[in-house]
Amino acid sequence: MRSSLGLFMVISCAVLLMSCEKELILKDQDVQDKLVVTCLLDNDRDVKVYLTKNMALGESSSLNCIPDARVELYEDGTLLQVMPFVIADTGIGFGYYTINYHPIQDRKYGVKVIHAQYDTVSATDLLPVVPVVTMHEWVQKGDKGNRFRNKYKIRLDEDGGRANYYRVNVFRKGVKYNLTSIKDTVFSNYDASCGTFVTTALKDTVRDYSFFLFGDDGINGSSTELNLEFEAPELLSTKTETLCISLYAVSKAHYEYYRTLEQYRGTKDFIEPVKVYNNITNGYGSFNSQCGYKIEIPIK
Amino acid sequence: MRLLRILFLLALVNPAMLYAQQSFTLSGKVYTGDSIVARGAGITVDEAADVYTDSAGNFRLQLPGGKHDVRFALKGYNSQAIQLVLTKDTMIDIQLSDGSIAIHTVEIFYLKPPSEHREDGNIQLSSASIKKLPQFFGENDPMRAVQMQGGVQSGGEGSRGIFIRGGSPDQNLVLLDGAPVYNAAHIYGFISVFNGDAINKLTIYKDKYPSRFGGRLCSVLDIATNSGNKEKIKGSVSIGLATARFNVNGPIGGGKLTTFDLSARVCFAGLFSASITKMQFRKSGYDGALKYYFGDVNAKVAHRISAITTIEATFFTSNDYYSFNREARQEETGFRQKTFSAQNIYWANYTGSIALMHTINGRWGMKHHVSYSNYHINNMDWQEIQQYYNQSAEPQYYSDNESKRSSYINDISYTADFTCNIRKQKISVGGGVTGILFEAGRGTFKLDNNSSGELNYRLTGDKVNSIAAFVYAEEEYRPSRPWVLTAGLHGRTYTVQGKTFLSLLPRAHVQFNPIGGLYLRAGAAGLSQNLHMLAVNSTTIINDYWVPATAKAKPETGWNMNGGIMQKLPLGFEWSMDGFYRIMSNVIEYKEGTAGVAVFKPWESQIETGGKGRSYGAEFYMGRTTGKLTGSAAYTLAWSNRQFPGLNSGAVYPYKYDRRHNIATQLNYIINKHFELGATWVYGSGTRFTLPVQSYHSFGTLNDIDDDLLNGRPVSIPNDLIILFSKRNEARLPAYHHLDVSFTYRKQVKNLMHQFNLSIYNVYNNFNVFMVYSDTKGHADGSVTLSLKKISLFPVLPSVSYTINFM
Repeated sequence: MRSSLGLFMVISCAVLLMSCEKELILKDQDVQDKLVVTCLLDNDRDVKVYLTKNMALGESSSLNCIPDARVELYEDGTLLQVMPFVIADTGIGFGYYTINYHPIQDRKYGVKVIHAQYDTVSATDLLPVVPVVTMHEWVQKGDKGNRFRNKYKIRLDEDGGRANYYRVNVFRKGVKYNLTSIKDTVFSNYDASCGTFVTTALKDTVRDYSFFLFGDDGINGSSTELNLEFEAPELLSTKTETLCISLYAVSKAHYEYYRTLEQYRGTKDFIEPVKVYNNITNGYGSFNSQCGYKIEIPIK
Repeated sequence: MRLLRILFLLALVNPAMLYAQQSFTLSGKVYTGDSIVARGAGITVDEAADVYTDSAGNFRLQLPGGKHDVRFALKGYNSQAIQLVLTKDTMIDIQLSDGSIAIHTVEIFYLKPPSEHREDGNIQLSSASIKKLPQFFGENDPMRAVQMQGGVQSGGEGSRGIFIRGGSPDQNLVLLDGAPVYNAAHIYGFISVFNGDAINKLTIYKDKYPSRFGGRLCSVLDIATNSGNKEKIKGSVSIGLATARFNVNGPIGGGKLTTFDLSARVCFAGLFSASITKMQFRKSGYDGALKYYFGDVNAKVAHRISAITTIEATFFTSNDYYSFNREARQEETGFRQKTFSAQNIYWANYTGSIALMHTINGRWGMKHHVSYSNYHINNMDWQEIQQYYNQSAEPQYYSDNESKRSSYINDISYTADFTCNIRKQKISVGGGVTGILFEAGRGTFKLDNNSSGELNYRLTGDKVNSIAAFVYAEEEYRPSRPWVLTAGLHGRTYTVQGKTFLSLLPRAHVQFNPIGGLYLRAGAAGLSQNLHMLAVNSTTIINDYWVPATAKAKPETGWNMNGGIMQKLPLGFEWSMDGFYRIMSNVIEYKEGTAGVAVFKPWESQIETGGKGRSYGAEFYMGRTTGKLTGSAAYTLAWSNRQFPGLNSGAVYPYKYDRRHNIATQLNYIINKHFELGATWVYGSGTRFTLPVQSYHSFGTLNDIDDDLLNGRPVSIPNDLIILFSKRNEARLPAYHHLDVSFTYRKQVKNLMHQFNLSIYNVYNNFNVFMVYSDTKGHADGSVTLSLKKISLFPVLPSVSYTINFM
């Protein structure tokens, strides 16, 4: 009797702990094929437009670039050029539409894509003005508690006439290596106890392990000192390297796209999903822009 | 008018009405032996509970004229049986005393069946009806009994809390002997924190809201625990598949002035789960174990100070501990990695209350109540990685990350209630004050590795103090026999962060008894809520955070309107039909993609505020409450929507628990004095969710782009797979349903009652969806395919329990 009861309990426990996992069969969704446009305009780079299409649930996600579309680039409403398609990777047949032209700050750019099998899609974005940096300097290289902790100051003259958005990146140049999440660049009111992580003046910030994205809500129109605090043990090494600090002015489309993209990437199962920002009319993707102020600092 | 005629016709075809030429009111007051009013005494017809006396000892029954047997009972006292022949409205006072049984004889006719469904639309569940349900893990769970009622639904497989008429779980005020309980569920919500042995009765207020209640938008679950019997020490011991419990109650001292009731329960699933999961994990190539324990204690002491004054003290605690640890090893040529990870979560409720009841002139009842409630969660996550190269003994790289987070809510309340019965009127007035201290998101983080050294971060949670004060007045008036009119006003102030919110919340209810057992009812109530609960339905064991209403996340307000009809038929049958409409303002929701109260950010920055909600629907109920075969069937047809400026492009969307159809049925059959069978079947439309429908490629993070730029390479090709979703909560998961059965055998040997119970959960092995997730499957060409997968928790699940009652 005792052994039967024991067996019964063990089997019952095993049944309880057996999670049953199955594929959920849902009715096929009626998905219309649409074009996907991806483009990041940069005042320092040629214009490149990636063109792909959407995929239904269950469809293989092979890169499906579309080479036979008519892609028109507009500047301040005037057709600049029809962009030719260029194969970038012959192995997988992937390419993009490009022209040898660097966009100009404070001008409005548009793209229009025409293809016989898809709805015509379009998008516009205003290339922002290069941030006005009036001063930048080292504040501290290491402190008593942590010799790898560094602090660099940038003074930004914020244009109060409009809503602005910014992104900061800090890199070492010369190696394929970014500062890790622990050694991230953050805006902080420097505090040896690390009680404050992000300055409260900034709102709706987005922080990934390689960049910091923020709007000017809270600092709008003021001359603001951005205190960049980051961990970088290499700065104390004997190697000769270059530290790169980039402060980009980015468009709202850029800010919204990467803000939602970062939230999307952090989404876990069974959490209300994030809808990634989309500014493509009749299609999907992102057409956004940035304009950078770059600082290169030799370090030993 | 036409509807009224139809209702009258319905009543006329009722066979009972053929006998009942006229109905009369039987009312009065029940006292104990020392002339103390008997609060909560049961008044029964045909040996089943019908109504209970109120806090002033009063009762009121509507009975057609004729012969009738009525029995009055109160735990700790001898019951009184009365034979009546009703020929007119009758008022009697009953005195429950030791040993004597008074028999009164009058003429008689109609037997009014007992019911848990009150004429005013509220529901009162007795301990006996809770224990009729099939057990789950050997437990009689009061919350499962609640979920069997019309208009009440569970969230689905393993969901915490109950959802009443389209509201969320935090919109239900759960009171245990008057003290609020902030977390009513043990792990995943499978078992509630309320031990069936300790519960005397449970009242669900979802139709007629007494003005003395406030602070929540949807309903009140008022749970009264046992005070203990007055005669001798009694008790029970029970052991089930994963839990064990005991109850002991009786008098303290010889004067029969003081009684106590003590119940405790422990879950020992961790003893099995540790070894079983260890075996399962080993098959997957790593070491680890999962442990889970919980325990709860209910204690109550009641003392009669004088003939008219009684004091009660209650203590309750529930504690849960979850632990998961894992050690994984990875070995390749010239490389080894060890990963250790652990998660420990501890959460607990503590409540305590003292109530002083006093009667003045036999008409005024007075109650002073002080309570304390605490709920807190502590969560610890830890991960250590060690990497070894080329057979080295010491790790070349290590990282050691640990995070600890905690959150708590402290609630201290004082209330005073006064009730008075004057002929056709019952007047209630009172007030109270509540102080609540919140702290969400306190924590520490340790980040350590061999390149950066140790970093320690402290996070101070947002401590918020708030004070709420309220006064109320209510009158129940019976102008003539069929009418009961109730009107009241609940005024409430709420002060937080230097800002005060004022609410004036009217309540009204009308009850009409045109003929026999037919009742019509309608009501409206204004409600407000001064706190919010942030909860995510994820695989996390528990992630509920209570936060205060603030200037940004304003107090929730709402209106409830309802109307219905019920009829009590002969042989214990009854049916009812109710409609409801509810609007809510200032509800909150997490922002899209928020996985819980994230660190580094104030909780207010992680929520959408200013939400509106609306729910409406109809409930149908029929049941039989007396006889060998009893049972009920409840069907709810409902809609529930939400709207936020920052969600779903500002458009209205279905609430996650917008459950169109909900059915709950139960049957109980007493074969003989030894054997009893029970069965329940529940069905609910699937939970709403946002469906992934398509995807596209896009740029990766800017990390890739900048990295390429800095190294002079062309910008990366689009390499992120972005999933596009349907409109918010546009899709439904498969319907949720399961059949449970139970078999109980009882045998009394001298003073011991042995009880063996076999219950089977989910008899036909339906794989109800616990959670869904999107899964990607890689292909040789580097592409991936996206699919949706579901996880079910419980297949067919038998459980046994053995109980000995010491009589």
